[in-house]
Parts: sequence; structure tokens; C-alpha cells
Amino acid sequence: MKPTDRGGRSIGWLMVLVWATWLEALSGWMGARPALAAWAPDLGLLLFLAIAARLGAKLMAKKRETVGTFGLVVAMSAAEASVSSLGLAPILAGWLGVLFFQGFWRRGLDVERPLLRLLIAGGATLGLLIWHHIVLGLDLAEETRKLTATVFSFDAGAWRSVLLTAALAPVLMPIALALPGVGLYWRGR
Amino acid sequence: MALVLVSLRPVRPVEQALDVIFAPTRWIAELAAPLRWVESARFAREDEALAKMRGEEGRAGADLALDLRSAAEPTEPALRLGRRLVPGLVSGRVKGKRDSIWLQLDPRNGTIGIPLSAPVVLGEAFVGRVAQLDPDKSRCRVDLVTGRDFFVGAVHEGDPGLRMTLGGLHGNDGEARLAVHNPSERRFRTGRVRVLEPQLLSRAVSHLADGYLLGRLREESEGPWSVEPVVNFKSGLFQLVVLVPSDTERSQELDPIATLADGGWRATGPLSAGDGLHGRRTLWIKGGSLAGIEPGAALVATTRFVGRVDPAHSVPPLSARVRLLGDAGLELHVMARLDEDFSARVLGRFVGLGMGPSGAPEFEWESPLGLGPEFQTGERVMATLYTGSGLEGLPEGLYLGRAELPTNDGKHTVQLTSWADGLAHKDLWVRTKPLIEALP
Repeated sequence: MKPTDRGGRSIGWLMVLVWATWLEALSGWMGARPALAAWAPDLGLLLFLAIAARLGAKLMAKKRETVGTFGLVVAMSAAEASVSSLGLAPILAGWLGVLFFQGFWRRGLDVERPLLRLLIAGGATLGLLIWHHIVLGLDLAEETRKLTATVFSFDAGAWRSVLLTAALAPVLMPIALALPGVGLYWRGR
Repeated sequence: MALVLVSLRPVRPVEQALDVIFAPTRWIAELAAPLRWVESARFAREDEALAKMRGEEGRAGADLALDLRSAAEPTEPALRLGRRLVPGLVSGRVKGKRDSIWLQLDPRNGTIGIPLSAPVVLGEAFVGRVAQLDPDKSRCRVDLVTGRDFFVGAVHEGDPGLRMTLGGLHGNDGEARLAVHNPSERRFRTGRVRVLEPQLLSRAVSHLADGYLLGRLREESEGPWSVEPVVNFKSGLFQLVVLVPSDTERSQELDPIATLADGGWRATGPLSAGDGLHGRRTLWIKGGSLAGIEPGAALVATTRFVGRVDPAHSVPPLSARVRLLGDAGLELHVMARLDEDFSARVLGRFVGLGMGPSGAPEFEWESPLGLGPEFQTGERVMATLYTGSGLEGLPEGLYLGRAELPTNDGKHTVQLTSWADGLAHKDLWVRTKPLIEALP
């Protein structure tokens, strides 16, 4: 099946969904193990950034290509929603924010260079972490929020996962693009 | 931008619409099932171990609840004379009214024979009055004496000449002390005050509270006096008693049905293997709002409490998000059986601080009254902890774990041991409506 076919793209989208679900679940599984929790990288984010970088910047402005970007955001949101404690609105807003963040760097720079991959992945993980903690804090009553502030604070170990995600980006992002079926989604766009 | 706004200030209808649109994520989650298969042998062993203790732990929780029910009844004959005692279980605070609670009555008798303004007590302590009846749900609203517009007549225990009115809280320093209004004399006397409703109250039902304890009189450095209550109004109200006239038409109270045997449980299973968000410990389970699962519902592994369906969000149609033991911010009401003297104690509110360095859940426990004067300063006692009532969807008497408790008052960090991890079990049950309440 050719990647440019509608059927090929649909299969590609399904494969992105499957891999995203797997990677999100794996991050969740690691996050739930006390020995690994502080070092769990955001693998779903790396897949997202890798594919989004391949959706051509100029073509993304065209109608049919925004469907491609929209599909990627929906797939990642659905995958994250199946494991995350966040509501759907903050999840969708988080992925769109990452997309804009990467889009900002794409102006005149090749975001697929290793150093930029590292910087963008680190920045996006940090941004998502801050965003998630803002949203989670709002779920809690004022009194409880004060009590749990230390648990959610950056120095409680969250920085390790930010660093690890950034460090793995140059290695794992090319692998993510080569995952079976994922190429059907981004090739030919 | 709209999504950011909805994220920061959640709108229930928008949240529910998104939940419906993304309902198929329930099946997407199944894609990650092989991750759970890796540990299925361990899960089976954990389930088997719990199944062996099923009867023992279930009975222990029910016995503790029965002991606390007895402790909620006054023992002094004078306080029982001419009154019928109707036990009730606090099922939660009334939304938007901090000083009002819902009291769940036995659905087999409903609200029959409960008059408005009937006094509500805990042991020999006065707590509030019945303000509203909800016969459809077999519950009544109780306005607490801490309410700003609540007033009750009182008299000094040792000096009947000193009368006053009590109601609302004194000051804003965070300490729960009852405000004293219009004392009949200006000279302060130490001692306890008890309820004595004024004679002009024509409704006899208010006078059923006469003689019940309100607390110890205290002289304030500035302004009027206050009363230190003998009850933890903030989080120590689990089992209460409504006083009704002895000639009520209400039939005799029946033995309570044990929480684990009331048919209000639905078998479920895990959908996820953990949460990738730092500091969180959550789980998605099968079954959502379409299966009758509501926010705040308890989740047990065999008989042990492992978490609550997220009380802050609506439940999606086909799956539910559960906050597990060890999730920071998880709120529970807790009661305990002390090893030392085998006594039943209401501990109050526990707030999750996340997982401790040893890999066990930690909680903050604010104990305004301590465990009692019988313990020495700084003494710690081992206890078995169980859930208490007072939070929506969380029944009493579910085993939580073991803990070493400080006996003095103040804020403490308590670590659970021998607890059940919701991520290590397959045999999960979620709370739904008990059969007796589901009947038309």
C-alpha cells in the first residue's frame, strides 16, 4: 500500500495510535515502579516530536495537511488519555502547546538536528511537566495543594525525567520514525 | 486558547462531552494489556494471598464499625430517658454548606419518625439539628452547631445560674472553638457547658438535647468567651445518633448490613499499568458511568481498600480513573483499632503525601484532640486502619493497612504498612449503589 493512499494513511494513523499507546503505557508502567519512577522518560513525547517534524512546515498550512497534524494530536491524546490522570482538555491543550513550541523552532532551523532534538525535547518535557502540575494543582483544595506541593515540585525528582527524555531524543526519535507502520503516516506528506 | 481555559476552569458539560467523544480510549487501553501479562503471575499470587484473609478482614472492619456505632450512643441513663436513638452514618458534606452534613439513615426505615429540628449527638456530645429530610435517599441534612446562623441554649454544668447561647465559630484563627453569645453573667467561671434550650421553644423535640455536652468554657484574651468542643467537627463525624421522642412511630432499628455484603459492589479489572505523571499513582479500570460508577466510589482488591474513583472529575461512560493509595492529595476518612487496648477510634481526615522513601504510602493526619489522656506524651501505638464514612462513595470499615500512630495532638505524618497496591491486583471491585438503595 502506498503511503499517499487514503487507506495507507489510515493504516499509518492506526499504527501511530498503537505505538503511542504502547509508549505511553510503558512510561506509565515505569512511573508506577518506585525504582524507576524518577527516571521514567516521556517516550510518547519523543514519538510525537519525531512525526510532527516530518509533517512539512509549508504543507502543514494546507488544509489536507492540517488533517495530518490534527490526526497526530488526536492519536497522542487518545493514547495518553488511556493511562493518564489528567482530563482530556488539558491533554489536548498540552499536545497543541508542544506542537506550537516545535513550530516556533522550525522557523529557519532544521529541527531534526541532534542538538535541536535534544533542546526541543527537553523544553517540551519541562513545559508539559509545568502545565500538568498547574492543572493537577487546580484539582486539589487549597489546603491539600499546600500539603502536596513538595511532592509535585521540580526538586522532588521530576528534573531527572526531563533530562533523560532530552538525552534520549537524538537516539530514540529516529528509531520512532522507523517503527513498523509509522512511515505510512508521515511519508509522502 | 479555549482548551487552556477549560483546563484551568473545568466546565462539567464540556468535560463530559470530551469524555463521550474519547470513550473508545477504553478499548485503546486494552492494546497495552501485554504489559500487565508480564506480571500476571505476581498479580495472581497477591490476589490469592488476599483471598485467604478475606473473611477475617471483612469481619474486623464490620466489628469496628459496630463498636463505633455503639460509641456514638450516650451511655448515661439520664441522657437516654424519654428518647429513641436513631443511628446514622455521615455520608458527606452538603455542597456549598461547610457546616451541614448528610446523615444516611437505614434505608429499611428511611426517614420515618424523624422530625425536623431533632437533635443530633455523638455519645454525650451535642452536634447539631436535623434541618431537612430527603426520604427518597433515606437521609437527612444536619446543620452543625459550628454554623454561623446556628444557636443553641446552654448552661454552665456547675452553676445553673450562668446561662448563654452558643453557635458558630469563635474568631478566625483556624482553631475550632464555639462562639458564646449573651452570657447571663459577666463573671467568667471555668467548667463545662451543656445544652439547655430556653423554655419559650414550644417544640418539645428541641428539648431532647437538654443535658448533652457542648464543651469546656474558655476565656479569650480579647472579646467574649468561647467553648472548646469535645468533638472534632472538621473530620471526626462518622457515626451519629438522632434523638427522637420515645413515642415515635418509627419501627425498631435493625442490625446494620456489613459494607462488603450489601451487594453494592461491581467486579472490574485494571486497564492501565500506572501513570506516567510524576508524583501520581492512578489506574484506569473497566466500567464507567454507564455501569453506575460515580465520582468518589471506593475500589477494593478482594476486601482491602486500594483507591477512589477521581472525585474531582466526571466519570467517562466506559472506564473510570482511580486515585490509588500513594497518590498525592488522595483524601480519606479513617478509623482505627488500637493494638494497645483494642479500642475503636475515629482518627478523621488523612491526606495523601504520595509514596514515601520506603515505597509505602504516606499521609498527613491532623489530630486536634489526640488519642486521649491515657497515653504518655510522645508515645506511639500500633493500629489497624479502616476507612470511615463521610466522603461520597467511600463506605466505612474497609481495611486500609497497619500504621504506627502518634498519640498526641497536632499534625503528623503516618506511613502505611501491610497495605494493598491497586497496581498489583486483578481481582478488583468498585463501589456502586447498595442493593437495598437500588430497590424501587
